[in-house]
Amino acid sequence: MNFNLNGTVVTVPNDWSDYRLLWVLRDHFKLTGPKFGCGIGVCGACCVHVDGNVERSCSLTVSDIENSDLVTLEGLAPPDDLHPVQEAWIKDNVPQCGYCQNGQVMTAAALLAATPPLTEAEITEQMSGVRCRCGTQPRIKKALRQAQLKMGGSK
Amino acid sequence: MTSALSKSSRREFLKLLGWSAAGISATCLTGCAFPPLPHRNDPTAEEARLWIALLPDGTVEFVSPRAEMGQGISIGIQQIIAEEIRIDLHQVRYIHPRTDRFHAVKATVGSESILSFGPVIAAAAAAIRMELVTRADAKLGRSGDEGVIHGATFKLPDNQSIPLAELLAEPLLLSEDLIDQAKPVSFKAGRTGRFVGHATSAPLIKSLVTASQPMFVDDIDLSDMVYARLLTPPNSNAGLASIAENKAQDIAGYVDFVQEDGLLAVVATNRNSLERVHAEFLRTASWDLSAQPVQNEGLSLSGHTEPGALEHVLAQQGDIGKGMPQIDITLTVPLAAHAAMEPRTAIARYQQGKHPQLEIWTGSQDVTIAHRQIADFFDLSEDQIIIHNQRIGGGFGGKVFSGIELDAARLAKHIKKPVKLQWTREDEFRKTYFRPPSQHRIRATLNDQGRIESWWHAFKSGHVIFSSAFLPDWMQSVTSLIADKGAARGALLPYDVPNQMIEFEDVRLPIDTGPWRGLGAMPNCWAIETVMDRLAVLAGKDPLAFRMDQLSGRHPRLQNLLQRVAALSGWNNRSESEGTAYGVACGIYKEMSYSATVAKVRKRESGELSVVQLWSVHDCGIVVNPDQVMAQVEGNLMWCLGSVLHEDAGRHGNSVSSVNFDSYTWASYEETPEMTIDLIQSNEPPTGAGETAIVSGAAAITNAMSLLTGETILSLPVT
Repeated sequence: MNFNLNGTVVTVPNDWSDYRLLWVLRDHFKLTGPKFGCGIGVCGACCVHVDGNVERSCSLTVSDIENSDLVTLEGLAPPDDLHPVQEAWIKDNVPQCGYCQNGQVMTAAALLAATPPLTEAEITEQMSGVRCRCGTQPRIKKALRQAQLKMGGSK
Repeated sequence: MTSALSKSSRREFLKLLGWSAAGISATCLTGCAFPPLPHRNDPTAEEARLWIALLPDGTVEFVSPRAEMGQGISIGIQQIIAEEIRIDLHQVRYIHPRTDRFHAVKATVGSESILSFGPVIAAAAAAIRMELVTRADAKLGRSGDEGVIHGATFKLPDNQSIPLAELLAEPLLLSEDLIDQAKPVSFKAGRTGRFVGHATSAPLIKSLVTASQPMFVDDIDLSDMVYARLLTPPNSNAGLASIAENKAQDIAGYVDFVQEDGLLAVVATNRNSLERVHAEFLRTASWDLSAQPVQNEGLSLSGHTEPGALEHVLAQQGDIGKGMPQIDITLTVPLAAHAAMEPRTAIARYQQGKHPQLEIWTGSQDVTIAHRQIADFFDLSEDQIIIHNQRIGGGFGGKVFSGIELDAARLAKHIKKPVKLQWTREDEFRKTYFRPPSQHRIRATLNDQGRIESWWHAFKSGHVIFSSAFLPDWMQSVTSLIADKGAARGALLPYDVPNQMIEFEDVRLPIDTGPWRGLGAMPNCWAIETVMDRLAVLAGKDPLAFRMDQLSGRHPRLQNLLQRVAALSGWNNRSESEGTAYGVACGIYKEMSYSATVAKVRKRESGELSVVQLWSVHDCGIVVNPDQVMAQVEGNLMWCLGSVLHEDAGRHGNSVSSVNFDSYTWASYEETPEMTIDLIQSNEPPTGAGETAIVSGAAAITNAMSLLTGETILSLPVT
């Protein structure tokens, strides 16, 4: 089975079709961006982009993403040319412990790139589904607004 | 595990750990199991010199005794060291706690990193600079205190320079005298530093948002490593009865099933296989669910109608019978989870041999206690075990002691390969301790002038510091003679009340309870500040003015905060209506850090209450990094919001009912109010910021809500 992982086509054995994507990414591909938080698709720490949409890798199997374009936090942007969301996060010093921030950044990046643009209410609703326990939500709000301005999205 | 310590060595041991100062003595019965106890002594500058090393390449290596868990201590310490040694921030390398590089230290708890570690680190760093300058002076035959480290050289203003390697040829051992003579500048009142006092962002932020390097335990990958999961019984009293024949061994990637005294786990080569093996074992396991009677939670105060019935008295003065009883209410706070985003994870590598070596990677608030526990268990000397701490994905008092490091070590020894053991989210809810539930009865009276005449606060809470998660039954019984200072935190009144009695009882509950952000401060301050609002209404006074009056000149720093938060929020010109209300609350954390918050709450058309804005003023003395302190205030306010709106782990018999994040929620992005935070620029010594705002946020919010609903909110969360 093939899929495109951060710009490179990769192949995994066919009998992995019902393997959980999160563990394939972490244990096989040694990617540390997507994190294990709840295992039931509730917290968002494991978010990845599948064909440009944000999805929870703990709730996807390999067969769900066969032949898709998969992007993890590692592949969101080159290190010397960060994504506006990453830049805004750094500027506003968003993370505290940082464990959930993969989910925050990947979700914000996908939502801000959506076409047609999402409404504020839609963005708020989706961001609310990504948990942060340290309480970085006030800064996420600020940074998201900054990134939105930079990306020339709605508002 | 039963310790072989004699009674007298136990006494010495307790003294060594600082427990004797807390009143714990070694009066246990012969043969009782003696658990490893956390180290409690404050750090000294003498210890601090072991943590810092100036290297000939011009970098300073700092092996931190304090764990980084998002509170920003790594950057704070880097700022202090850079300030004292006069080097650039990036030349200071923060190394996470590792047990081969320091002696036993206190757990990273209590918001004490800057307060008790900051000054000794500053002193040791200042001593390094002093010694370096002395050596340079001797070489050059001059005297002065100029000179900076530039790359691998020590450079003087006249452009003379000496290679650091030359100055450090003799090992840089800092004598006690030298440390005494050093004059650290970081916490000098009124001084603006080059680094201290600046909102520098942590250099690791970029790595966190790009995943460019391993940060957490789960990001570490050892060659030949296998993965393990525990078979956790459905409730804490259950034991494994039997496992029926199963097909686990046919699952690709199966490694082992381990059943050793108290340890029940499965092991596989990757986590997809592990999940299948785990599920197969759970499917075929029968548990011995010994029918434990559901224990009464023992928190009800209904049997205590008169003062003086509870075990511990925290304050008693005057005659609380005075005045007409005006208010007599009972408030309830439920169990709450830490719910750190990172589930506990540990990796262990056990090298067998004549002189076994054990290496462990973990994310713990207390590597010292894990180190001791493991050494005891395997009968190894402490130098045969190295624990490397990693960045913790959220601690909040929950990652002090879990036993995961020992479990991982036992598995690694058994499997003869490095093992990564990770708790599932369900394990996080089943195998740990919680913020204790508590019940508070407060009876207060006013005098003719509308001042508080008497105050009786009686409360019952589960244990916090003498947690059932750390201490066996017998030891908790011994400790019941001593008040659990954790449960009591925040219960003393900042206000001037002539007649008062504050009493409480710590109750052993069937569910493990223990330290949670702010310990007892959140529940106690919420109860106190709720009653303060009721009294203000009775007295016919503005709630903020009532608090000012009631301070009667005490705690000028708290008065200052109340005035500042009034100005910041436009309190005196606030416009309240049927749909909008404001609430205020304030408090003192650990008798030294101050917080006051105003909340604005709106009632939506649906009737739902929404917190639209919070104004919060914070005074924790001299601030090393204002941006990090702000982040802590924001985090605490979000915790307050969560406690008000959602947090309740629930109870099902002798277990908590929440098992994952679908049933345990806290404040979300959508519910996040605007926040305006003001830090007091202070010349007072630093205190602590990691938990302080937890004293004021919850009551500010519920006081506003009570105005909108017309009824005082008596239990959390507000449903």
